[in-house]
Amino acid sequence: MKPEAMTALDQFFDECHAAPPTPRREPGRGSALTVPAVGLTLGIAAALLVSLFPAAPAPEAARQTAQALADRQLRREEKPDGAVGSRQRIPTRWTV
Amino acid sequence: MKESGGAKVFLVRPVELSVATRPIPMTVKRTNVEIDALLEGARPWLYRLALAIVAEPNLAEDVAQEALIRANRSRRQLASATDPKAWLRRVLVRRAMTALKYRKVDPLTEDLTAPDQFGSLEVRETLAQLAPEDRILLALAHFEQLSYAEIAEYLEVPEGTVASRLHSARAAFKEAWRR
Repeated sequence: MKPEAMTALDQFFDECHAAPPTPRREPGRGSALTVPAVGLTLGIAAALLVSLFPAAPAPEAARQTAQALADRQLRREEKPDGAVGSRQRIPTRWTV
Repeated sequence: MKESGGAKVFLVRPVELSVATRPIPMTVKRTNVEIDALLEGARPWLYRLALAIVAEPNLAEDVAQEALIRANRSRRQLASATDPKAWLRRVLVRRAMTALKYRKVDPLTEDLTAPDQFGSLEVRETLAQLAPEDRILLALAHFEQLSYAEIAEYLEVPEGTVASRLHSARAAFKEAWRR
């Protein structure tokens, strides 16, 4: 037969009071703050930093990119009637 | 004021000590060495309190460790805390709450019969069915033997709320225990 609920709970808390301060751990089963966890966190942080700040492009590649952008801007400006690419310019105000 | 035979008698209450005249507790400022000793000495107690809340040794050690790390980071607050034990308890309770809420492993599906498990299996199974708030309340009231007023201070709720919540937590435990 089960003991009374609160008696069992109090007994459990008594066991907690008597628990040894450092519990036995299985080998390889450590805290969430172990060295591998810290290493993994640092690795992820480094990868994030690298993705956020990519290396500067090579000078030639940068020049080509700038030239391509300038050419594209020029082509846009040459379109008649304010057409931009394949889409018509959207009127700023609709009239009914 | 009271009329007494034509003369006016003023009823004067005894003067109570005003807040300004009460002895002011001295500002505590602990050194780093004292804080080290404090944290080292508090470690077993923090672990046992965590164990009473989460009911699992490995998780309890993680919770206690995280609470100690948090305390170590906030040395300035701890250095001037008037009641460092209460301060540490508050930190631990918050860590335990987080651990119970965001726990990945379902306590009912893990191997409760493993040799490193602790306490009565039935009690742990029953506790696992309760909400984290109920588990914390039960631990503070039964394990730490705190008064309603002290618990109310921790949870930042009125004493009456503590009483009713504790009643509900006990009822929930008894109900889960019967199943």
